[in-house]
Amino acid sequence: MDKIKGFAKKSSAIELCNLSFRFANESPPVLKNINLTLQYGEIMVLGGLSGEGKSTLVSMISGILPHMMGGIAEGQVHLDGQDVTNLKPGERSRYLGSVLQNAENQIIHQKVEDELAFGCENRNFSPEIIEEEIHEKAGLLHLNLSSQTRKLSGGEMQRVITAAILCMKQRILLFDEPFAHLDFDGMKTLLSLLNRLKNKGYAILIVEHRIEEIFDQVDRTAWLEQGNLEVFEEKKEILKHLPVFQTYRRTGQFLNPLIVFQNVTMELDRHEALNDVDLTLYHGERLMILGDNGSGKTTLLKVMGRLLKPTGGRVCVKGINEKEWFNQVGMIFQNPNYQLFMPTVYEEIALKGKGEKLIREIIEAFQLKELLDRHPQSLSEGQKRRLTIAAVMAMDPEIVLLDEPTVGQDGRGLEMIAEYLLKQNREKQITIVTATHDQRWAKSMADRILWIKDGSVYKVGNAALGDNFFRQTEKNRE
Amino acid sequence: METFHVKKPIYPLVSFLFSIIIFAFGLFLAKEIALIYLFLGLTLLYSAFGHLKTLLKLLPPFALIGLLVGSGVWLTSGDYLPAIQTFGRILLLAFSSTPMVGTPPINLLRVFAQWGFPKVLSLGVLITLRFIPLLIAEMKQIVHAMKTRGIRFGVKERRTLYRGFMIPLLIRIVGMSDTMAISVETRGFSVEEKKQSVYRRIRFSLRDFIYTILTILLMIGVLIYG
Repeated sequence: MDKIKGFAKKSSAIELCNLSFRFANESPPVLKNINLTLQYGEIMVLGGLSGEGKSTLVSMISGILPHMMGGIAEGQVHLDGQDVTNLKPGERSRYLGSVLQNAENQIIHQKVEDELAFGCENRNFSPEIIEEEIHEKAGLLHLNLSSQTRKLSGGEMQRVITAAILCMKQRILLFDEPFAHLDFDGMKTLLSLLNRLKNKGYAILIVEHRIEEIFDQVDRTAWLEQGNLEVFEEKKEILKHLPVFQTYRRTGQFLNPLIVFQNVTMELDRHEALNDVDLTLYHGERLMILGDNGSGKTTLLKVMGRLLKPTGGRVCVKGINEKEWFNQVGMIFQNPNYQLFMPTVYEEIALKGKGEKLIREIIEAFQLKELLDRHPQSLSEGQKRRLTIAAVMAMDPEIVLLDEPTVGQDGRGLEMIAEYLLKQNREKQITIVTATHDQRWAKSMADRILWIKDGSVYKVGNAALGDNFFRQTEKNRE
Repeated sequence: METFHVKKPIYPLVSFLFSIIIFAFGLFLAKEIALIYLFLGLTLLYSAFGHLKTLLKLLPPFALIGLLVGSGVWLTSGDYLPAIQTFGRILLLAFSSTPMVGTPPINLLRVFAQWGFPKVLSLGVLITLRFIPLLIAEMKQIVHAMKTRGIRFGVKERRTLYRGFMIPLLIRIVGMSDTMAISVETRGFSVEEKKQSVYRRIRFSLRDFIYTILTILLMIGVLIYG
């Protein structure tokens, strides 16, 4: 490590010694005797199933647990060779930059420029250095400094928070699912930036589910399961934990129109989110909406799901009773927290479930049996998303609209969801529309691709267009 | 909130101070015809200092509330004069808050930092100002989410409606405030840490001085001639 130019350190960046954590005295441990060392000049990726304690570990390192959110912790945390076990997150931020989940709730200021400057001001950087930092990081992450943060898409907000942390110049960086909302280009850009930082001697720990997509760029891997951490000698050993995601491609024509868009435009906050969109959605097809962050994917889904009324053009629906619309059209939001409100997982599924037989079938298919008595809000983000999809599928909908269904989802969970949706698609001819950045899902779950750019339909084609989309965005970056 | 901001805001402490002074002064004049002169004078002043649009955006909701409350006063007292005075007091809120609402909160925070005000004050302003628009957006999202779970706004489903709206809202409020506090802390904001730089310093300009003088003159004028 001492060879790293401009940054020679003898101590480890992160050192965890016998770290254990439980939320209360009587509750089972979430983390058990975790030992981990991360050196400067290394990128490590940490994988694991949803709800197995990855975010808890991140919170322990950054000091959020137990200092802000309570709980019982044992063991020690060392950052840059210093014992920081008793330091609060604010004090630890001298050593460590943390990019957490849920970027939209972390943004404080109204302008991107002020958001990026906030951490630098707190670190007492001079205005000249702040200016230099925010311009550099905004440029690297393709951010417009004068943009209003409120109007950004999920992916753009994720980039803002990432840039805001990078501006603070800590040498140890912690990322909790940083690629979750990023488009392919955004992901590659961030990965290449992290690699440059690594070469400058930064230590980077990433918690991520899309391990296959970043595997080549990381130095070491670790897997967290049932509170136990396994750090692999050979990084490829993590691959044995990742299921091979099947490709479910098919050919065939769909003839019965279900929803027809005619010159649809949608203006949001004086910004044209959709522009002259012509589109026909057919009964029984699987349509995949692809596009960069902020291109209008979520808006298109919301107009399709009748949550937003277009400001121009027409949307015609065929064969669905308008009064029964929301019982027949299921929509899954990017953030599952909004759609869960019943006291138990079972009641959540049963709320609008069509019959006990279907409810039982869904509980089985989504492997929720162990969680039935839990409060939905006590689940991990990945488990919540699985539950939201299960609850919507229990309504036996004719159309399912999924907005980023893979966020926070481990490979096994993802496969479970895909299998169930495909079965319904085959057997009941349900129509599935997905907006995603996840290459695995996009390649496997599409009959037709709708590629949108700046709110307009750019290209429409068969599943092979998805490959072109991901290839082209990579090529553009290069 | 950005929709209310002006291109060239007044020095934040001046805005803040005059918002309070004008409100107190207006209340003092609430039963006098002079209140109308104050409103007219402020309208001219705001036009000259680029705050007219903000005032025009603020007036309709306040006028509506004023009409409703004023009508209530008229119905209960049976006299139109207290009703008009109530209407005037509520309009006064719009007039007095205009310079403050037109100022981006970041300017206020930076002035707090420049003057070495306690950081806990900045933290309060920061989280409150961010929380309000976030909460409005959250409520819209929850209503959308309820629809997607097949819940209608109807008397029949009032229990589910309560659960569907109130539970996610409460959970989101708690979650949002937690996340925001964590976000602020992990980005180095600490109430104990006194050192803090200011990226863009906010300076008291000649324009702010002229605004201060004209506002004082306006109030004196209204007192003498009103």
